[in-house]
Amino acid sequence: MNRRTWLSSLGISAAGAFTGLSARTDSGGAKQSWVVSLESFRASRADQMPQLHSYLGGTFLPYMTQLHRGPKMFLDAIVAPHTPQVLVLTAFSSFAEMLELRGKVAAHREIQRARADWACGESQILVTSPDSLRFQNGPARRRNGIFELRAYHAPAWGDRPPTAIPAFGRAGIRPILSASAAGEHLPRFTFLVAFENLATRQEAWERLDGDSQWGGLDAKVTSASIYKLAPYSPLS
Amino acid sequence: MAWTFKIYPSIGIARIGNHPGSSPQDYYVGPEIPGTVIVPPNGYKDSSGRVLRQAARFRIYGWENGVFMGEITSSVAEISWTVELANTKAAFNRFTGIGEPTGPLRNASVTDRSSLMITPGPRTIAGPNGAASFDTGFFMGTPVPLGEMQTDSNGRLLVLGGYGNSSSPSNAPLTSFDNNDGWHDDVSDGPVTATVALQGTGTPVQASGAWVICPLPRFAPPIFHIITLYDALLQTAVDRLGYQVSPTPSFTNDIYPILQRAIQYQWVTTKIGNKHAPLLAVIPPPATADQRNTVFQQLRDPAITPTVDTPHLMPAIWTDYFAEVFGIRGHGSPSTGHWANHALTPTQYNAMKNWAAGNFVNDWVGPPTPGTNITPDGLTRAALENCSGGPFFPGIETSFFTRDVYPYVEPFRLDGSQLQAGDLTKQQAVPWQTDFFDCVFQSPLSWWPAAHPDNVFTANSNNYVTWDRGLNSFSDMINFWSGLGFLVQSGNSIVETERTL
Repeated sequence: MNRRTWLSSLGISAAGAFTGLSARTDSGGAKQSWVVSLESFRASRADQMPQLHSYLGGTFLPYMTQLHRGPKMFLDAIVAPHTPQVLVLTAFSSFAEMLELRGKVAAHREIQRARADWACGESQILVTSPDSLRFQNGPARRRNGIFELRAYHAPAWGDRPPTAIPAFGRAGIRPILSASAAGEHLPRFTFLVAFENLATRQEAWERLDGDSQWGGLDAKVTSASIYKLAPYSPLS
Repeated sequence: MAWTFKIYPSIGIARIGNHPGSSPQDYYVGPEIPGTVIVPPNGYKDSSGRVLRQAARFRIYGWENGVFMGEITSSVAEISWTVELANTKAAFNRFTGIGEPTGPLRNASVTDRSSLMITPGPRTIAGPNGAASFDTGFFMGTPVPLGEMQTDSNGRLLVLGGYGNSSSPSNAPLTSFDNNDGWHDDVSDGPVTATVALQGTGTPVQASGAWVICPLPRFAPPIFHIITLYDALLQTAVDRLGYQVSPTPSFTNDIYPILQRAIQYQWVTTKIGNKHAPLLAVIPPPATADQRNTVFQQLRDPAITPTVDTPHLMPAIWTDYFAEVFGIRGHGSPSTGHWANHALTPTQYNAMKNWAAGNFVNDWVGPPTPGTNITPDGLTRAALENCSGGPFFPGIETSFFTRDVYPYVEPFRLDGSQLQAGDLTKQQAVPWQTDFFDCVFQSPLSWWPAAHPDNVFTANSNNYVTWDRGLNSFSDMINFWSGLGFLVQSGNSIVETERTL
């Protein structure tokens, strides 16, 4: 992915497609932090999934798009502790923006009605920097392949995940999201990684396991789930 | 990146039925979430009064380097299932009680022992939407179908058991509740194994295996046994595998279910009357120490030798050691007045003891409602909590061998490498209907009122009626078992429905 592609996905392209996410930096001029919301919507049975997708793609997404021009991604779980499930990833420029948007969505009558039918599973709030978000849209959008959401407990990494990134790179693993858990007691790092298929995924993690420097980073996988892209997902 | 796979439930339950179909509308899938009661959309019977079979659904779950990943379906893997069902009752030992696990053979005069074993052999299905039948087994030359296996569109396995057909090709008489030479039935059990190959990742991996039991129907689904098979096998895990249970019981999860099961017995026996009023008095917790002790002091201590009489301690169900109590095989005499009852498991009893002493977690927010998520352990628990965990004389779904003898590789997962298809049901009565006919209230105690209700309410009456009214002999039960009613929740009551006798 070239720089222009992922910048556009963050809404700071020349076209200004995602102006809602125009950068807000703190007064010290430090790198801006971005807030990523991961929210899962669960169905009890597989035959309920068309209805769930209809709600997310036909009601939730259009309304969210009106309110929020930032990144939105919809992932359909294929191997996860709870299936069937759709994971909705949304990125915000600040906590305040996230809370405001969530409040508006929660107040929407049609969404309220629809949400009564679906069990909301885990909701996670992550914090990251803009250069850790590498989504694709437009022609570059991935249409096939799988996505893995993988979390590590790694106290030695401090409070930011980039320590892992060089090792990932050597193994050919290029996360499209690298983020830290917000407001949790233990340092926990979450990555979203795109793979061509299960085989390339397995090969990549095996390369990482064989990397002696990675072995010294003292990271333990705490959870991992595998998804495919929902057809209506604006980004990948 | 090492994956391991396990099949759940580790012991699944597929119940027989005499509706012959095997399409999805012809059966229902048994409970998959603890605490749930499955009521098929159109009832437990078809329009002709035939009982639908209950399928056992098996799923594969995966762990990668010890991290739980979730269910593995055919969307990400090539799954090949192998199931073997067998009925070897007629070739096994006569049931003579739990104290004599190596009794004389059934059908001792038959030299070709294999002719007594209904063993259609294993069947394998690779991929989704497959089917195979266990229809090549014979009993003394007579074909006896034991059911079939299917895979659904996600590659999950469904096992369906037999049809409730019991017969004697030699027209042998029915002489006892447990050992009837020349007879067979079509309950069965056997191993469930699978290989899993994640797409594009190479060699198939053997999943940790499971077992399926295909016993008689569950006629009273809302009524749970006071000691379920889950409780019994939890105790097995504690005793033999060092499984640790919390020393401080949860009122909601550990105490309330025991109290509630006892209270619910009012719907299946006349013997309770107001005797369980003290149980109602301790809900909600904490109740007073005196109230809790009043309940606890009614319980038989499992440390008491099981053949020893107690002064009307609870639960009021017969001991595993019924034969030893009377020194004979078979029936006791009501006039003896023996009260040799079956104790709760030590784990259940200790939980009650701690609760009585005030050492419990008061987490009560009302009666627990079943969850909505299917989980690996929940699948096993949901299957086993609907089965009897005792007394095993010889038992309903399986025998004392499963609790006391057979090896386990982990809690609730049998070591299939050391067992044969048919082992979990071979000590049960042959045919099952004779024991089921006999397991009515036998003064002064009951047998399995959650499996065979003694007395029930009909939808239109406030008076108890005998549940198996109209069936007066072993033969009647063999011929008309499917006419018995099923119990369902109706408002605050549990009533008989779909009786077709």
